[in-house]
Amino acid sequence: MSLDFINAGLVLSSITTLLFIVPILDSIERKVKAAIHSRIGPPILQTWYDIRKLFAKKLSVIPNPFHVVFFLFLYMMLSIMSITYFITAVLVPMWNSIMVLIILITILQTTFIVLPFVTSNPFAIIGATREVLLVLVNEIVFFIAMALLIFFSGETYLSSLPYIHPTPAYLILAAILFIVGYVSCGRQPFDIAEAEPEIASGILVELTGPLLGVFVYANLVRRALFKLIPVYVLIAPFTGSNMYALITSLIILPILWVIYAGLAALFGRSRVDIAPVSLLKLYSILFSITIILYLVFK
Amino acid sequence: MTKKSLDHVLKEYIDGIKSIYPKADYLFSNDTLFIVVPKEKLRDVTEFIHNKMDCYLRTCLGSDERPLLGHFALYHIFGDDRNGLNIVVKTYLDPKKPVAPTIMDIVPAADWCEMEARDLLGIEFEGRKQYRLVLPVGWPDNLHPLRKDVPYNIRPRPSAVGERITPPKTATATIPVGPYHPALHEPEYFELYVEGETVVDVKYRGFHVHRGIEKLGESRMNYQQVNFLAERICGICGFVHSTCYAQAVEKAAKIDVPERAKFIRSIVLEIERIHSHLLWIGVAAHLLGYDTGFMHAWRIREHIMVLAEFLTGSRKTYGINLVGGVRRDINEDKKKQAIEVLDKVEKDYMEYLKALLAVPEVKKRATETGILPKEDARKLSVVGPTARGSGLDRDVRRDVPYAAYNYVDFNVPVYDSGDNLARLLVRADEVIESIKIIRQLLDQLPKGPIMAEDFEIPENRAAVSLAEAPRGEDIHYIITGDGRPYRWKVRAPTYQNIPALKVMLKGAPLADAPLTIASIDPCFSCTDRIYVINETSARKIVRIGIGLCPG
Repeated sequence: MSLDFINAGLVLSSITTLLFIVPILDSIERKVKAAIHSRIGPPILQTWYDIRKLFAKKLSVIPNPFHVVFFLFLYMMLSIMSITYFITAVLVPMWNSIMVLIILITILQTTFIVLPFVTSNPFAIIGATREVLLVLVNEIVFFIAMALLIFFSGETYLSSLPYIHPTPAYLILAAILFIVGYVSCGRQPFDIAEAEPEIASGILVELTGPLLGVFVYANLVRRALFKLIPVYVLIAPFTGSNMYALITSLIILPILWVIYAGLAALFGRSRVDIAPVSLLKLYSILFSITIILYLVFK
Repeated sequence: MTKKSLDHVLKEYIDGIKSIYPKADYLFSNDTLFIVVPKEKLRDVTEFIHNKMDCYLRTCLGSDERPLLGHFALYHIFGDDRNGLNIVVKTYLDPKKPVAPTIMDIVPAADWCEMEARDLLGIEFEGRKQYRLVLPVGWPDNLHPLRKDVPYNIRPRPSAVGERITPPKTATATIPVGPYHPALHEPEYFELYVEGETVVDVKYRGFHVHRGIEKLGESRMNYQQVNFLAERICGICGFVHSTCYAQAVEKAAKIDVPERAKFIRSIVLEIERIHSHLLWIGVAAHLLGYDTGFMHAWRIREHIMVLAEFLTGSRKTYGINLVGGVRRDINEDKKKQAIEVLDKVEKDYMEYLKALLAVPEVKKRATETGILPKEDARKLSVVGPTARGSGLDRDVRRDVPYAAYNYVDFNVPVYDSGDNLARLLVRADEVIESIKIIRQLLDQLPKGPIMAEDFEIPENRAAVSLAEAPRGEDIHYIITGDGRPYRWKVRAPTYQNIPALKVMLKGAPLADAPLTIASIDPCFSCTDRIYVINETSARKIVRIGIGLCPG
């Protein structure tokens, strides 16, 4: 394992850029949605303004504050840590980095769904219960997809993916990861946890001021991570270099963000008893195709 | 309907009632059959009208007629839309201790209006559980505001009264929704008892916003001023109320309203229906997470709001109705521009509707949710799109034509499935029909005055007036008085539709509860205040409503 100056600089600049632009990407998403809605929409730095405003507000004491604050900061740390690890592992060969990424994301997602449960707010708990069902399906699929990726490519290093030959089965796996990423971002039709008009409000209903600011920011970082992973998996084998793969992924990220925003504007919200079942059906079909393709082209 | 068939129908009613009570007095005026029966025969007469003649209860009301006739009166108003008739059953009650038999077991829809008569006039109902409905819980027990000896501006001191919440045993959790909640756009309170994600029972507390408008109309204002008060009953469909009120007075006083005024009223009523339905469709899309649908419905609606302003001078609360006609005319230039706006709205709306119904989540989630079976809909006498979505083919614009509706040709959309989708489709189709109606009315707009000249409003005349509001039929009942209504009863459509929510919500997924609540397009106003006191294990609620000093 080695980290030379170029890679260190690239890691640092990538992470700094990412951490700065994710709220801007969110503003772009709002702008895109506004355009689809026939509205003007907010300025490009609106999400940053929102976060700044939230941090300027008084810190409100919430019920069960220790647990909430602990899990909230854990969530933020894990979001930033996971994306940092991902970028580092793409550039630097790190032992079993795909496995480590799976573990990190599992902990991150667990923290995300536990957070509303530690509040005593019934609306937040309804949202959390709905999220658990969705995350269970989605996380298992993410786990299986990454396991198959290791199996198909024979690699456990993220940094080795640019050097493998992309097979049709591998491409279908990447497509599965795109869907997993979309669902994890909580956009329509999968925004069932924060469906305020449907009585559930997730954690958002319980937080205010700086604590809400922390959550909003951490959530945006998590969203960026769930977009970067499938983009990297898809384009890495076509670039032939992990540095190019990373830079291309970072360039594609805003485009994907806009595409996801546009897609979300076309859907309504699903329901907790419909969304996981629909997803399971879709994933089953895609997994069947990828396995058949693997067996055919082996 | 020919005169002969009307005679035949009336004879059927009178013979049936005479067979129950041979001394029954009756009078037929306009489209209303007034019958007077003693309270001992009320239940039998109700059973005959509701069950044998297949009528539905429009509403019931009490009236303090001690200064006029020396007793209280109770009125039950039934509707026979197939024959375009109102049947008003009047019962005299003791002036000192007014007690009447309940008809709630025969007509479940009578539940609320009986309790309202109890609250506001002190009429007790035998044979049923009684509870406070309209007045705040802290209001004194023996003070009934609609009695003529109670001044309109009385301000009793509020008192805190405990109210314990007892969820059903099957429920695992209680979810309070309201009075302020993102799913509710006006103050109302629902308590949803859930088991997992399924609603097992629901409790409703409303009337946070009872403002004593009827008392004001009966005590402080003159006939023409009440038009403007009536328009303020609702922030969405206020014009229906002022039209309905004006029509009630015009019917009671037999005022000949100019045809042109009737056409203008119908045009504005349909504009109001379009903007109300577009508003609702947008809200429904938002509740289903389809915000694109929400924004575009309101974008299209904006054209209609501008048109309303162009024709009446206001986007909302038009203020053009008077007893005897309207205050603002529609000239040729306005007609031309109105047609241009309608063409644009129709084109945009058809595209929008196609897109909305193509969204899988919208159709999937509205289908087979919030079901109101036809039989329940009939028992509860629900109205408007709620009734038409459950297969009840009722629309007073067609069945009991008023204003200029007998000059136009239109369809009444009816769907049988009784679910949220059916109610959505009824409203969606009605927008198209309303555009069609406005076009016809503009095309046929007759020449002439817009206001009746020199009319008098004699005292002690009664009339029932109906108007099909966007949410269902609106009813105003008037007994004329000296310079102002002696009794003015308003029954908004939501009043009739809310009890149906209990049926719709039971067994439904929790996530669909807000859409189901919204599917009746509930309409309340927003001038109430509420505060909650925690005291030991009981939750105490004090509502500050009409005429009370804020704590």
